[in-house]
Amino acid sequence: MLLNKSPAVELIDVWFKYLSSRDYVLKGLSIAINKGTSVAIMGANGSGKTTLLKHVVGLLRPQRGVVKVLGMDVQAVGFQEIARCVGFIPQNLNYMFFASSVRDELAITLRNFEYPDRLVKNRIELVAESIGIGDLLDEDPSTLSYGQLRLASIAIALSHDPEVVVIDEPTMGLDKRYREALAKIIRQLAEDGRTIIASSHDVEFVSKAFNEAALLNEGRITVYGGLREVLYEYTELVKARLTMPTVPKLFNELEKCFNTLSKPISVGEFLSIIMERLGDGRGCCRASD
Amino acid sequence: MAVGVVEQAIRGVYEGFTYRVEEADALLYKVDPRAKLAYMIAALIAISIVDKLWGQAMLLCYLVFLMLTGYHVRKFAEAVKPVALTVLFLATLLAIMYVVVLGEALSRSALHAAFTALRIANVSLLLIATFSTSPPEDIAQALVKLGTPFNQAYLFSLTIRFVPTVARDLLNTYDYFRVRGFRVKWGLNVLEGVRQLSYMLTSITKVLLERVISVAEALETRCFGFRERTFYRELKVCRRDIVFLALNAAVLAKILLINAFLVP
Repeated sequence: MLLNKSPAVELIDVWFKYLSSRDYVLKGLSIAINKGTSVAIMGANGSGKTTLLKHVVGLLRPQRGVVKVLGMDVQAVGFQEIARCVGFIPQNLNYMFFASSVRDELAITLRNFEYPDRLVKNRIELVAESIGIGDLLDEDPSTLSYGQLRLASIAIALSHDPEVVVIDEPTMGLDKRYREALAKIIRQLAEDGRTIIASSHDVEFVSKAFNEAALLNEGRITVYGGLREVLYEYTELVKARLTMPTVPKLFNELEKCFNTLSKPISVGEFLSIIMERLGDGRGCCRASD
Repeated sequence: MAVGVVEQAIRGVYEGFTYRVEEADALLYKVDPRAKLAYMIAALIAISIVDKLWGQAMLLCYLVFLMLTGYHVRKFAEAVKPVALTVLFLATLLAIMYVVVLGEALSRSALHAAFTALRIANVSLLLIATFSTSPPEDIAQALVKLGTPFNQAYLFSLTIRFVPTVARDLLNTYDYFRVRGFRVKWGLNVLEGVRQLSYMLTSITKVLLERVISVAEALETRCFGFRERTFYRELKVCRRDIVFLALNAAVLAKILLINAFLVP
C-alpha cells in the first residue's frame, strides 16, 4: 500500500500546564507523525501521555505552540471538525457508554456525525464485524466485560471512519486474549492506512502492535523512530522509567557475542537469527565466553 | 451557548476547588477553618442584606482583596475567569429578560441585572475562598469542635472533597461526548436538543452513581464510623484568627452601614 508520508499530526513546541499543577506537563514538545503509521507514545505514569493525546483530539489547547491535525490548526478550527477526522478512545470507558445496546451506541455516534440514516445499519454491521464484536451488538454495555467494552469503544471511535485514531492506554484492564485481539486490530488499522496514536507504558504490547514509538519524558519527546530503534535505546528507556522488552533485553546481551546489526523485537525474529547463526557454523557464545 | 456557559461554570468550580495555595505562602490558608466558617456565614448574611448595586460592588472588591491574600494574582485570574464569564452571561440574559418579558427600560434592566450578577459573583467567590483554602480534614475537625457529630462532619468534608472530582467527572463526560460528535444545539429543533442533552445526563448520572458506590465501598472497607477518631493535626484558635474575624467583621459592618446610609 502506497502511503502518503505527510504528517497527519504535528505538534510544534507545545507547552501546557494545568491550573492545579505546579510545573508544565508538556515543555516544548515537538513531534510529527506521518499518515498511515501507528505510534505508541511511551512514558511513565504522569509523564504527560494523556495530555498529549488530548491535544491531538482538540480537548486541550496548547498554551504555547501549535497542534496540527491533518493540516488543520486545532486552535483555528472548530472542535466538530477535529472530531470528524479523529476517533478517540479514553482510558476510562465508564464515561462513554449510556445506551441500552452496543448497536444504539454506534447508531447514536453515526447520527451525531450526520451519517445518512439508510446507511447506518450497514455501517454498524461492517464496523462491528471488522472489530470482531458482531455478536455483541445487541448486548447491554453494562453487562459486558472490560475487554469487550474496550473493543466496543474502538468500534464506536471507528464508526464514522476517522483518518486518525487516538487510544489512551489501550491495554488497561485487559487480559492476554484481549491484548492479542487489540494488537491485531491496531496492526490492521495501520495497514488500512489509518494513523494510530496510543499512549502506553506496556512495552511488550507496544512491540507487538505498533510500528513506531516515541519516548515521552519530562514533557518532551526524547526518542522517536522505528520500533526497533526505540526499544533498543536502553538508556533512554531507563530514563523514561520503562523496562526494556524481553527480546531486546536478551538480544542486547547476546549481541556482544553475535556481533550483528539485527534488532529483533519478537520471539520469532529472535529465533530465526539464532538459527541462522547456528546454521552458519559460527555458533553462539561458548560456555567459557 | 447555554451548554457552553454551564461548561464554563463547572470548569470554574473545578479549577477554583482544585487549586490549593501553598500553606506557607498564604494568609488565608493559615486562618483556622472555624474563623473562616464564621466569616463565611457573616458575609453570606451581608450579601443577602445589601440591596444596592454599589454595596454589592464594594463587597466584591473586598472579596477579591481577601482572595488575593490566599491566591497569586495569575492563579486567581485563571480560577475566577470561568466564574466571571458565567456571571457576565447571566447578567446579559437577565437584562434581556427584564426588557423583553417585563418591558422595563434598558438602563433600569441593566442595573437590575448587574445587581443580581454581582450577588452571584460574591457568593461564588466567598465559597471558593473559604473551601479552596481549607483542607477538607480541617473543615471536618472544625465542625467536630463546633459540636457536630463526627460522622456528619466527615460526610460534609467528604462532600467538599468530592466537589472537584464530580466536576471533573462532568467535564470528562462532556468532553468524551463531544469527541463522539455530540452538540447540544438549541435551534429550531428543540426536541433534538433535549434528546442530546438526555444522553449526556444519563451518562453523567451513571458515572456519579458509580462514584458514590465506590466511595461508600472505600469507606466501609476502612471501617468508617466504627469508632471515633483523632486528627493528624490539632486545630487551635490563635490571635491571628481573632484578628482576622475582628477585621473582617469591621469591614462587613462598614459596608452594611455605607449601603444603608451613604449609597443613594
